[in-house]
Amino acid sequence: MLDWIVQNAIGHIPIWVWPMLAGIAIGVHFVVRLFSKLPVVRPWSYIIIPLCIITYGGSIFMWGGSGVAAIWQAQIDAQQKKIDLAVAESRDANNKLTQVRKQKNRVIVQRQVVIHERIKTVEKQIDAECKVNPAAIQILNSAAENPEAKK
Amino acid sequence: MKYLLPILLLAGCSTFKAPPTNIAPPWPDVPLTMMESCDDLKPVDPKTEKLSEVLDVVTDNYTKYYLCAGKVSDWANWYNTQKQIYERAVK
Repeated sequence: MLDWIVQNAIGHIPIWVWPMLAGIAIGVHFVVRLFSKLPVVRPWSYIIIPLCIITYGGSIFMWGGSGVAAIWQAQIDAQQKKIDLAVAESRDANNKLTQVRKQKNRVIVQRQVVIHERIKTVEKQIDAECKVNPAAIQILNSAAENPEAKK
Repeated sequence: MKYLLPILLLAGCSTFKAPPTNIAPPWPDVPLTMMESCDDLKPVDPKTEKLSEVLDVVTDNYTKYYLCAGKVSDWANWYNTQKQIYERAVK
């Protein structure tokens, strides 16, 4: 619980508040000490001086904590920057890969079309000269089958 | 002795919990085109006797092979690129 309060206080209160608070505590402490011989101030000094010491101690503690937290925060920010950059780079790489693949696939399919056209130009000639034996087709189809795909 | 209190208080600051600084980027999704599986090879019509038809089917199958080989090559390329980016970010 205390840990949670400290972490939240550090996260939400500006770092300059702590040295200022410590300075005020020291200032009040000295002023009260200076006038503690006055009868009006004396009874109050028994409460104010310990409060000043506690405030001073607590402020120094929190100031140190804020400094440490600021260093960590800087490390997190630097890491976050690297991550943002990596995410952007990764997205660009994916886009580039997709574009390059589309272009390469286009070339492959265009080549297929060209080959089909070439076959058409000699279709009659090769069909007249050669008849394919059904056994050859059966062997070719068997070779094209993937026996593992059926499992 | 009077300096001991501030020193102890400042030393206490080191007990503040460190936030997680080992943040890593999310592993990226694979482009959808790479997730498609390769097509099966096309068989030749068993009733045909025409060599031109056989050639057509063989050409189509070669195309299917090149499209599939491209996907496999993309997987290796994608993995190596993303790994480099990831390692650079977490180093």
